[in-house]
Amino acid sequence: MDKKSELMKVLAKRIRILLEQLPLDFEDLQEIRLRVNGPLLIIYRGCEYFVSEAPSLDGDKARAVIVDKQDVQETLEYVGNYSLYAFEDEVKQGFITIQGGHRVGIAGKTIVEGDRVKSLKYISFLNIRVSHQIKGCADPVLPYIRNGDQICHTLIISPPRCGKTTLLRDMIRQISDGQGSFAGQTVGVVDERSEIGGSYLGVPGNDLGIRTDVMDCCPKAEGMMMLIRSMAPQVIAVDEIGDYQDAHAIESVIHCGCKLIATVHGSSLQDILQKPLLEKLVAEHTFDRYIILCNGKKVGTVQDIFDAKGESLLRRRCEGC
Amino acid sequence: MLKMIGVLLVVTASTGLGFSVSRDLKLRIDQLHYLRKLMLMLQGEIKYVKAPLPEAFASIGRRIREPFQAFFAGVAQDMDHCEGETFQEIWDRRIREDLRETRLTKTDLESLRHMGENIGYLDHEMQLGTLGLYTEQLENEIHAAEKVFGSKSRIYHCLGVMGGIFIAILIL
Repeated sequence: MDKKSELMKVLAKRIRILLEQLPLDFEDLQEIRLRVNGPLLIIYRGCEYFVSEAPSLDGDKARAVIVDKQDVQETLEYVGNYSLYAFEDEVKQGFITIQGGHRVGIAGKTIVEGDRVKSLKYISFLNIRVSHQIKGCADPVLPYIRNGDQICHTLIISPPRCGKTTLLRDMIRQISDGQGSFAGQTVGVVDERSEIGGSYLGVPGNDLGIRTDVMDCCPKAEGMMMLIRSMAPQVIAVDEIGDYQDAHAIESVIHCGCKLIATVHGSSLQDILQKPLLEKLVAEHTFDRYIILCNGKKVGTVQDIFDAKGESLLRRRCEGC
Repeated sequence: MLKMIGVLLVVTASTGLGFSVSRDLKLRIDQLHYLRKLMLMLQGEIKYVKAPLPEAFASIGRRIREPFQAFFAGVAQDMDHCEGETFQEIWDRRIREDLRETRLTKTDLESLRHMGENIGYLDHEMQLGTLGLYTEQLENEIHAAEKVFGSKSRIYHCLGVMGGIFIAILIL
């Protein structure tokens, strides 16, 4: 199924008809935002547009189509595959991943039990973030994370919307397939939110390489250990390290002889050092490489690559030139 | 001679009618039993496999017999294609199209339709609660239908035969 069908399938009929008439290249579409009583917004080729009744892409808010409650509810029904009950955990976390690995962020009124969010009701805000597979986007970083025929423990640090999952996906593919003299390695992916593989019924929709095994919708910490026990991976890849359990599991993975590639939210190495969660891992030189992404001209722009001691490998290379 | 053949035909037809009405009652009970079994399977898919509805309907649709096979497979297919119809719309349409040939009464189909109004939304417990409630309702229907069958099936048989004989006497 192509990207357009994957996205159209989850939109309310009225919005579907409007977007179908627009001359959009869905490969360049980044976000579709639906807010009850708010204008229909899309982020396309890095710019924000209002969708007007005509229909056309417009900069004028006054002519924009206003999204109503019915649109959001209908979209939510399709996003949840008519079965919102099956996505209870995802709703609790504030997003649902749909076929193709696209992430639908949801917000509304929270139901709190004790100090924990139990569920969401009156969901009134949806943000459909389009997943992109850009083959070859990992080309510039791969030479830095290879050490002979081995892969270095790598942490990708990036603010949201800078392409860390896209970069991770392509790294997985290239490591798994192999390239030139570099033989492909067995990669185990723990895809907690189905974003990396975009799996549907357990089969990845994105190309993750020929030697990749995917543990879909599995908590990272548990998934990493399960993969080590069952699939004997040489490299383990996980997206968005978020809690202490993940950090502890990383220590186990590293001591099992597997190489690890992980991503985390942040904008610099200093940011990571200030996070209690990762401070210890960085101080102990657990990771051999840190790839910092920034919001550059295109998704996945590498700002810098550091080694375990925090020395910039990109700068060293430039100085050597 | 011709009169005798006519009389024989009338008695046979009338007896057949009596047996057919009684058979319809029996078929309805069987279909209500089967529908109850399907609801238990659906509860199982939701409770233990945590399957979303399209997956649950498709999986059950592969294991059951007609006319419910077409109904379950159809609902799964329509949800999968997602042509801009809500679950309630798909559910209603499929009941109209696929279950009209069954022996289920209008009331039976109406309660099945109502059940579809509360499926899909909210949490697991709500789904299981809705399905549980409908299963209970079906059990009551089955119980009532069995009672009716027990008391009326012999009456229909007798009425069929006696009615035939009565008309035959009038003809003769």
